[in-house]
Amino acid sequence: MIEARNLVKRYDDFEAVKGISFSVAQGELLALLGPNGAGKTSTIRMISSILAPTAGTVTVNGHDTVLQADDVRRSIGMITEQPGLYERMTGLEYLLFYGRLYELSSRDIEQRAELLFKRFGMEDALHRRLGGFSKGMKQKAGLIRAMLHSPPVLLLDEPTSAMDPHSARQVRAAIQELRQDNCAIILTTHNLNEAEKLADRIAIINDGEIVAKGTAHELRRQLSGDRLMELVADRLIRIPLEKLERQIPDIQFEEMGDEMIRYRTVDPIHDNPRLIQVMAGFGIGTVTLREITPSLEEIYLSIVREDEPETSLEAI
Amino acid sequence: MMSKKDLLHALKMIIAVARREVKDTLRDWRLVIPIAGLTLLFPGAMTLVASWMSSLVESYDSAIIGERALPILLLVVGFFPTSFSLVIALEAFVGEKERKSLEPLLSTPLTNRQLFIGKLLAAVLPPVMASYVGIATYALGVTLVVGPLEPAVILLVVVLTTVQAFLMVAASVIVSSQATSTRAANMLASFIIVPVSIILQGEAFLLVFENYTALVWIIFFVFVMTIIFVRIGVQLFNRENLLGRNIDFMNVGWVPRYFARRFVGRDMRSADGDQSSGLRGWYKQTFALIRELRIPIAVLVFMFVIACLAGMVTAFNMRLPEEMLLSLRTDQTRANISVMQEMFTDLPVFIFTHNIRAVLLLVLLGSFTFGVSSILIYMLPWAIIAFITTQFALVGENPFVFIGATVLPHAWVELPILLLITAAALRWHASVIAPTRSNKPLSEVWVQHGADFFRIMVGFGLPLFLIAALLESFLTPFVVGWVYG
Repeated sequence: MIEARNLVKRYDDFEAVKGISFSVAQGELLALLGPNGAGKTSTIRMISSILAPTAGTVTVNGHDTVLQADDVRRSIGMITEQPGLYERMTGLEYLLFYGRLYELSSRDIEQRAELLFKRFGMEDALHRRLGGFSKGMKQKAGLIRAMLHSPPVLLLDEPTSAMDPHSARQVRAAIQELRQDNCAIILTTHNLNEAEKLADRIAIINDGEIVAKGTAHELRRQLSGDRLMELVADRLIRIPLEKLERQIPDIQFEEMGDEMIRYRTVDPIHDNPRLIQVMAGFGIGTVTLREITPSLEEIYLSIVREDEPETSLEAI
Repeated sequence: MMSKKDLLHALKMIIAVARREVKDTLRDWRLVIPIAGLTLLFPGAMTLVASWMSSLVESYDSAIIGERALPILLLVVGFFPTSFSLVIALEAFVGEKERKSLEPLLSTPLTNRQLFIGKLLAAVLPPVMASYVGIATYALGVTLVVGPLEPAVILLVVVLTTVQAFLMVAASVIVSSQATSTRAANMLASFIIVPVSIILQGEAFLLVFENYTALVWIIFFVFVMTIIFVRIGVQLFNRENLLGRNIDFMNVGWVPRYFARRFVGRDMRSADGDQSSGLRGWYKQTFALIRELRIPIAVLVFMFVIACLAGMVTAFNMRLPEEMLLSLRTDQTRANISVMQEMFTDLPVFIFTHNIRAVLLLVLLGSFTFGVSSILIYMLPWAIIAFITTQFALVGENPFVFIGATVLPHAWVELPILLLITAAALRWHASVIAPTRSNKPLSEVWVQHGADFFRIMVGFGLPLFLIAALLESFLTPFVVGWVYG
């Protein structure tokens, strides 16, 4: 459905997107996760044919975003951080306007508008002025507008980032709802929980590059490095660290508390029994030994902190 | 060429955009109340002013002053509501950008042109309609209270008001599509208001003196300017620019860098895809550029024919005086050959610098006139040659011998290179108003076409003009001497 290859976007001397590649299949939701200024919005705008890539290609529903921009725009529905509604219009008038741009008949638009407003629990609001909607309702109205022409591809650019938790929750529920439609969806966000809850796959984008991609589970496996273990002893550990390191050189000790040791190992099957054995040699018993799984947030922060951009690109 | 179906579709889209905008405008009390006031109350007040003023000047036996002032008030009544078109148009894109409603609109299948024209119509229609109502109200009021206005004057004011509104809106929509904030757009509005105010004062002056012909010329001028602005607007309108680049900041640093990159030919390929380096590669790329000049070359070939025809027709209509015609006869030419030979052999540098000066003039004037002056300067020597050749024919000399002896020896080099250079200049200057398939912003296209012009000028123009000058100095007098001697 969406295929991006070596996508580059340069603004004068500044490279916002540096050769990223990814694909999204029908019925799949890919989250582009990254901090402000990472290049997420530029990527979305290139996919929606608003920006032309400096290099590389994107195809949407089989259409090239540069050569067949009109076909691409017909194939996508898009919402942005701010829904950007015409506030003096009613919900129906707004959808009638957009529907006409997609060459839908007034009758089809009205039917679809009623259906979608009902689906998102806003059936009473169809004939109300958009200016009177709550933030959550406005964003849902934006989603309805994006879905009005039943596009096979949906692009959701930080749909919850400017919202209070309650409204964001409403919109997230609405996005969950969209998944029934079997569209290919790209969601950009800097909210990890949102990405983890909604996405089939996550691509972490930082400084214009995709630094990691996969399911949340795969990302943890890929990026947490050697496995982190924690051993809790039955008494105070009074062994000098150097001694332990000398006896088990394959283990990398990270932290040593009074009754606790944290370490990293490539081969826990071999190293864990060996450590227990060494500890026992010093007369220290093991109470528990467990693997510490890092949260997605820890992984994400460990990636993006390495090279945080100084300026925001969201306006670009 | 657009098919009927495509045209209907485009119209539908334009109407959809315009209809929404008009609806939005009519729901904004900040616009509706003043427009309504200027449409209904202001013309009424002006009718009273007209009546009072007519009585006053009549009491001083100066009724003519009152009569002449009535159309000025008509002009004012018509202009005031249209001034709101400026406000609406300035808001057209930048307002949407600020309210974040532009991006969803840009992600629809609307083309740039449909969106631009839809916005333009939406900004111009409500104020112009209001203006018509105001003009009708005033005209009716004055007819009832003072006496009837001349229908021709009313028609002139209606047309003037309409074209001026379109001019202001076309310029404002350009500003709106380039600015990043309403504040920035409003600051730039003075560039529109000041010239239009000057035009308005000029119109008032002409109305007082009843110089209606001049007013018709003003209408024509404003109409042409509007067309140019609409073309520029469509050219400048670019989805990428709307959301990204802006004219709020002076950023010209990229211009010399981009120019140099294009001039040197970095990132360019020659026609056969070869990327050979050095002078050979550069010339290959420059040759490939000639392909891109097909349309301007075709235009200039056509204008060359027109220039020759114009020269010939002028020669038939404006025959030279008898004594001058006699000097064109072969025996006289023979007598002049030695003088010509002496004169020309001293002048290769003069001919070369003259040609370069002509090219510079062509470039300079063309830049102010979107290439029109370039075409005219290019046509001038050919029209003159055709004129003189025809005069030769009229005194019974063989015009082909004249052309073959005096022009062809150097023109076979000079004509193609002048054609090529003018075509490159025309492409450069017209890039502001001519449609382009490129996805690049207009500023980039303009710099690129400028760099292409200089490539052709340096790569072909300078060496071939030098050769042409040498031929004209040494070969042409020799051939003339051989033919006529």
